[in-house]
Amino acid sequence: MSAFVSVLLVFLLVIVAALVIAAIWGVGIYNSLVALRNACKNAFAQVDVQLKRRHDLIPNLVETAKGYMAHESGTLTAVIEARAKATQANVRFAGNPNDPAAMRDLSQAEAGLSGALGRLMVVAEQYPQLKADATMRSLMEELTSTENRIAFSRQAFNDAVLFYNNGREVFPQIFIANAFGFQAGEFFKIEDPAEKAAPKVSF
Amino acid sequence: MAGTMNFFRAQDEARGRTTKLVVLLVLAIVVLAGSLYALAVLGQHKLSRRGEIDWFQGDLFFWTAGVALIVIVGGSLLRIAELSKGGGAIAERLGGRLVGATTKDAAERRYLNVVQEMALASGLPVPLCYVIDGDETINAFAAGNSPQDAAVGVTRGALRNLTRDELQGVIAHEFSHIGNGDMKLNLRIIGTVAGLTALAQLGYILVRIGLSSGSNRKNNAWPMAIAGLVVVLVGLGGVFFARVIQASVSRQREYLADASAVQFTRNPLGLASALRKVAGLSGAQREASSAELEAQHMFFAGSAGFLESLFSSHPPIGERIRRVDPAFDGHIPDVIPVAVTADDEPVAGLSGRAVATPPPLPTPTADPTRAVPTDLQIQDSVGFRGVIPGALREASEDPVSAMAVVLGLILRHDPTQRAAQLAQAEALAGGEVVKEARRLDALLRAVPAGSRVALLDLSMPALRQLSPAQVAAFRKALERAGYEAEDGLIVLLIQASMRRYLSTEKNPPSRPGDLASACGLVLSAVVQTSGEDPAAQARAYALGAGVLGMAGLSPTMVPPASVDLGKVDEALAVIAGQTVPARRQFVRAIGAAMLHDGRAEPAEIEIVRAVADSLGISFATGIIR
Repeated sequence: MSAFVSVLLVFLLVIVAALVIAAIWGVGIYNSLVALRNACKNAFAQVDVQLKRRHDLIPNLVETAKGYMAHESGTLTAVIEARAKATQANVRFAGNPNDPAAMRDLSQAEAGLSGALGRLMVVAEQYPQLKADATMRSLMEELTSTENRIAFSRQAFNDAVLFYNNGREVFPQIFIANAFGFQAGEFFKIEDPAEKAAPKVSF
Repeated sequence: MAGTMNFFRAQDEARGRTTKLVVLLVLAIVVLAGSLYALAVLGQHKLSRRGEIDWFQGDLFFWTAGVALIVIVGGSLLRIAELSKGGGAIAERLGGRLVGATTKDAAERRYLNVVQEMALASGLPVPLCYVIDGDETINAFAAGNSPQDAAVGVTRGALRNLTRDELQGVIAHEFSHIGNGDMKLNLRIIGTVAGLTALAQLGYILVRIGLSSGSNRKNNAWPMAIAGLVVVLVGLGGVFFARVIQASVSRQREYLADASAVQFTRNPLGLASALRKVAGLSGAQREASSAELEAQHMFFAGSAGFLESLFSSHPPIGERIRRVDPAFDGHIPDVIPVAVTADDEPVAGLSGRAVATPPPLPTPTADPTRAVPTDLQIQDSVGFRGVIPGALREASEDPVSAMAVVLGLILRHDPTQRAAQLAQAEALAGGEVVKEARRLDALLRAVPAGSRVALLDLSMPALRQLSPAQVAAFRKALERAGYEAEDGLIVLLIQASMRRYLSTEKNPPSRPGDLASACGLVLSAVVQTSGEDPAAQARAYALGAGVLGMAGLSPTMVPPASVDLGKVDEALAVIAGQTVPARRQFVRAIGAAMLHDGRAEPAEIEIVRAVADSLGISFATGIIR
């Protein structure tokens, strides 16, 4: 009896000790997942700054262009609408940064804005006076600069998302991730309209 | 001032305390394992109802002690591994939110400004800044493995209730923790506390399992609950040990950090007033979360509790105030939130108002070679006293612009060569970095000697936002720009510092090489930048070499003609691979050599700071009253 009890006690102790260690380990994994997800959030803050800068530039740009291209109101309205959509999507995503659908919306809205701006530029080509306008030139310059910075901060954000996704998908992290609702992060893609418009090569 | 304490000693003491920590941990494990075994023997005796207690049961001892050991050590190591990911991870664990440079909140902006000022004052890279939003008490913490990955955090209550001067005192206190090397020690304490508390958690789980299965099946469940209770009791002993260890290892460090804070800010009243407010608010303290309790020694103020006087990780607050402000009369004021104006202007070193002037260096004696500057004099002399233009400071907060700033600092003076160097970096961040460097060119050229290293320190939080791939591209661009500039040594040192700052490895790989000749070469290169006559340079070298006191070190300076920057770079790498005390000794020798004539020129200060930065040594701690 005594030997049995002591063996049982010891056996249980060992099992529970293993459980405790596993629990501490699990907490560690959980915390590291939280840290990775926060890294994505922090990286997005940089993207956000640049997106906002782009959104702030557009009203001035449209206002300046209006004076020269009164007949192209459709193109200008498209830009303004696309901007409004992008701003909304941005607010939605900021309120719910872990939602992949919100990120997809934001990607689409920003791509739409890029497309509308691209069309505006094409049309603007036909107005030499507009192209020569000093305000327009400086706005264009700032817009290009902002787009470069968006691309750069987007790269950092996507790297963070990749890191998080990789960290989330490996064994045994994936169990903890699924159990506690760590969704896979969504990349911030802005499809280049120019790339999309490139003619297909046919043979 | 009863006695002075130098920054090297303070940092060494942190290491000494690690030994103490290990000894206490081993002691705790022995006691805990022993009592667990003793209780197991007694329990078994009771159950088996045998006449005599058998105190020597190899198997039982092996299992109980083994389990205790595995739980404590395993728990500690896991927690330490988890926390070794850097200051940011710990700050987030404690509920911190990263404050970005673009924050619109006036109080947060003021906080960032104060942190930048303190970074400049202490010669440390600017850490990541966190706020614990839900916490209305006044508290702050510093975390991280090294100054390069450090983070500081303050509670919302601290932002709300402290004036600028008070906040500065609190931040300065945290900075001296970073500089004193307390953060690594703190991690080990957290690990130890986690391991020792894990035993109590184990017991608690045992009791729960025992009780719940006891209601289903009568047999063999009660022994488990009882065994669990035993483990809980022993585990509570572990918690007790953990608190004692926390208290004994960290208390003294708080006095030191307070003293250092006063030295950075040269304003004892700010810190004293902050401490009084902490005392005034402590009635409103809420329950600390378990994560915070485990890390309570990391904070600025200890958490209040009924056993505060015995187990607190922090010294009694009244005593802390008295040490900082001897005129303290024990009066604790009511705390009223402080209004923060939106136009907080950074003060020290960033805008017009200069940093508090340090006490003047003693006039050199008749024989300057004999007067070896003390550590305190070195430390006082290397404080940043320049002014950084607002446009550059703003640029240093944005990742792309910060890259442009750092790149711009190492370019050649000649316009054609400068343009060629920039063209090489063209692809960086889609050409934006080069564009930005061109935009800031006039400002960057005008940056006076002495401000360049400070700009590096300011740029760190922005550069830490780069992704690993972007860091690699940036490092490559810096390397390509080379260091064959007109003022080669400082450019080389800036590059070496950047390599260290942006490194993903914790320690640079050690490079084989003759240490004595490496030290001789770097020391020679450093004294030759001073622009003094060769005789003075030789005296400076002799003084530095005397401080180093290294066997095999050449007693005479390497002649300027034989100082090759490529070799200096290699020599620096050899020194960088040495132990911390050896690197410190070298920084001390450089500092002494630079101060040999009793004067610290801005360019000299910059070299000393850059050498220290590139070797990962900080000046951030001070005196003890």
